[in-house]
Amino acid sequence: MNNAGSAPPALAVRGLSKTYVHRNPLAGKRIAVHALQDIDLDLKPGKTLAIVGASGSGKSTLARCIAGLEAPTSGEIRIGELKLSAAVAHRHVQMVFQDPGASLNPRFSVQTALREPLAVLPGWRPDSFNISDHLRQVGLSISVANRLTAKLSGGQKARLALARALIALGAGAGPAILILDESLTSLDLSVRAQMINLLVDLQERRALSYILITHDLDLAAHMGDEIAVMSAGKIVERRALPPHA
Amino acid sequence: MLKRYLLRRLLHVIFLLASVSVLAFLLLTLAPGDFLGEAKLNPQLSASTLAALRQRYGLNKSLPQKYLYWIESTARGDLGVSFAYDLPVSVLVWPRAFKTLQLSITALAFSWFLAVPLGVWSAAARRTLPDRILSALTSTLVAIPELALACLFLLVVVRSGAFHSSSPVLPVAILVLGALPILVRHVRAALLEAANQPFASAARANGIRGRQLWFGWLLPAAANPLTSLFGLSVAGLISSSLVVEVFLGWPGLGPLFLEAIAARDLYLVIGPVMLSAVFLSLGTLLADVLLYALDPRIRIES
Repeated sequence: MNNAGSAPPALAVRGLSKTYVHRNPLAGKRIAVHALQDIDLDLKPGKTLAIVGASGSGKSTLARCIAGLEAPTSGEIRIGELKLSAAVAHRHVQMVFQDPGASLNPRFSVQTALREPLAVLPGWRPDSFNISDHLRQVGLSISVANRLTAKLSGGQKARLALARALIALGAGAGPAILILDESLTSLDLSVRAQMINLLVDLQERRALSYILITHDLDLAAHMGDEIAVMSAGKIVERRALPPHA
Repeated sequence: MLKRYLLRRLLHVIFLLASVSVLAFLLLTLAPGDFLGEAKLNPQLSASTLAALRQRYGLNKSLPQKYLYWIESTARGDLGVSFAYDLPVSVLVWPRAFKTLQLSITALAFSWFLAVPLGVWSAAARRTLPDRILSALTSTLVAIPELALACLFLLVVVRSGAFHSSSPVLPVAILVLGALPILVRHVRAALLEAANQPFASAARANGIRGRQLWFGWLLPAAANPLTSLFGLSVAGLISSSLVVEVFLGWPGLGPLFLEAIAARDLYLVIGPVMLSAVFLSLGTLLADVLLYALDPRIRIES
């Protein structure tokens, strides 16, 4: 928690809480579900925080709050020096979802999917976009550029989802945080290993910060610099992991 | 590729129309009585006159013979002969079909032009007070039969004298109010389903929000079920139109159809049945072409 004397965190979360209120119209009652309670965490540039915990412990809610997809009930999220807003989240935080294939619009071609993060940038022109560089970066060939995303293999979809997230992060200067929300779970073993190597390599080259949400403790130990264990909406344990071999 | 797709769909339509015509002939012939049923009770008509009339109308022919006669007559463009009017059916039904289409197409256009923005707005504003009010309104409208709506409108119009009976405003308004609530609810549900897909979350994470997200990302994703619904709404509006026409005295196919059924005027019943089937097939064909144009996955698969 103490960052004095070291690089400023790419991500700082303070006192973050998220409560969902469900109404039961028959009973006339409101049921409050405390998905996140008073979460504090920091993530330094170029480091990986692995978050583990049982299903329903609040991992994905935390990820969605950091990515700006859910509004927290209370608390603060800062990305570098900036307070989190929709515009800040879009430029500095990206998420690769649990099923990377389903996170791609099945009606889009690979090219259109890659341009999605840039569609909202003011003054952006399609001709200023070199698609082959972005595809090569994640090990995809330019030959897939005009194919529909629905027609790609599972591994290709995962790489494309990663490429799209990297494009969004590359659009602005400053911290770049990639949230991997069980993103590798749906992949078969060999594709998964390739994706892990790709992620490690990209982190070294681009100083990306990863939040790795997983059930897989071996993966957490392999990729993480620090591990946080969540239970019932709280971080119950945090510890630094030994440097990777 | 589109040609092959259209050809396949066209073959389906021809098969459907052939089946409808056979079924319509079967059901009408199996039902007891015929056009001369009431004439039999008339003591002024002798048995020989009745037999001559039966011969003249071809009522003593077998079902396959009647069907063949109808096919020949349809090939000539006559669609058979009306016993009651002593005129080719086509002369009677075409002007009235035009009137029915005038109502149905206008109502179809208004319903969809209103349903899409209302459905999108309602999905985007889900669980807020305006959405709940709209949902309550659409539920109420779904629960009111079109005939009750027509009664209510007729009452208002008669009291106020606002519309002339030849004005299409009243029947179109009733048809739109009948179709709109179902369409709005379907558009809302289809968009909410699309909004819950992971690719919608990804688009939001990429900064795509508001109108751009709902109209540019989610509406195309929800287009498939809605396009199929478009085909069905054509059928719904045509059948509702027939009922509303009878009620409001609109000179469309509805009143003629009802009159023909009551008189057991065989070919004059078959005419509107077949025309409705043709309009319905054209509606679904249009929906299929739209689906082909809107969804790149269907284009590639076919």
